[in-house]
Amino acid sequence: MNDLLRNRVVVAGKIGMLLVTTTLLVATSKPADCDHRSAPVVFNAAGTCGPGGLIVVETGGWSSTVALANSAALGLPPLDPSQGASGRYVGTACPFTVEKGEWRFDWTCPSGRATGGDGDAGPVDAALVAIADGGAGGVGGLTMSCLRSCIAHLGQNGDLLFTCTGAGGELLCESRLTKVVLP
Amino acid sequence: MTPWIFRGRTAAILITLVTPLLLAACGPGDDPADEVVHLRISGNCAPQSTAFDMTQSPSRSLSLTYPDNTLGAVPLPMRGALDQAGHPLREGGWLLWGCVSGVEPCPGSFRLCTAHRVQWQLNVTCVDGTGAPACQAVLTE
Repeated sequence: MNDLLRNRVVVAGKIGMLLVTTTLLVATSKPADCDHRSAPVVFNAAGTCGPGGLIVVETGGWSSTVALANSAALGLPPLDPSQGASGRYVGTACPFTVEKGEWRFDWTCPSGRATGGDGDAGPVDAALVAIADGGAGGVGGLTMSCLRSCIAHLGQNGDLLFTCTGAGGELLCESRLTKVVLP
Repeated sequence: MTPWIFRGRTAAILITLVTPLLLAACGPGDDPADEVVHLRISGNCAPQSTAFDMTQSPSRSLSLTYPDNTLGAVPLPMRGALDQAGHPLREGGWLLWGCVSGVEPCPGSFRLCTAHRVQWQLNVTCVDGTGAPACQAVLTE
């Protein structure tokens, strides 16, 4: 009787150990690699959004923010968190795969522009107004009253496209982004 | 009678199984630690030999600090990042980008720079916003 009880305790102990080990293995397994910042990706932009040129797209780790350097190449104001603006990665890949699109920038219209008043436009709004007015050093900016959204997405032929639409969803411009392999 | 869990062999098995798991869970991550490297730049990116500090953060981003800078304009962009493999600063492979005029936006002064280790120095090549060659620099400690 004692042996039977002891065997049951031993079996129960082994099952317990197995459960504990499995739980620890699952708990300590590395999660999807979204907590590491992906390296920046350089694209060459060409199309109707701005004069074209090199841009650098950088993601911010798990926070999924996206910064775009040299946004003037796309005829856009500074798109960087240090300038008060950033986009976001809306895909599900880890680490983020910006070369496959699924990232976007959104704005609201500069408040001063619609009313003609001074408003409290921030640096992005001010730059946007400047570009809409043909300023910002003549970078070939968009000349519309309100820029709403710019989305990077894969086209039907697999090209990465950067498409900007206005407040009514109308197409404002589109550029093709080609990944630049640095030497 | 001693409970089974306190017996020598079972305890040894438990320790053997659990300890590495706990160490793996609490051990250091893959990111490198903060690192500051004092560098001197020469070449045609800088009008004269200049010293600066390059700081690598745990998130693999880079920032440059020019202690003697008073003009706003800088030889190399002030921010960047390591490559995807996360090679250490001194091995090169990193990128710098941004305005060297110190003013945003900068369609005319945007620079994108890459670094390659050659023996004891880093060779830096910069292009402008169109991809055309802009300047070259050599960094030494």
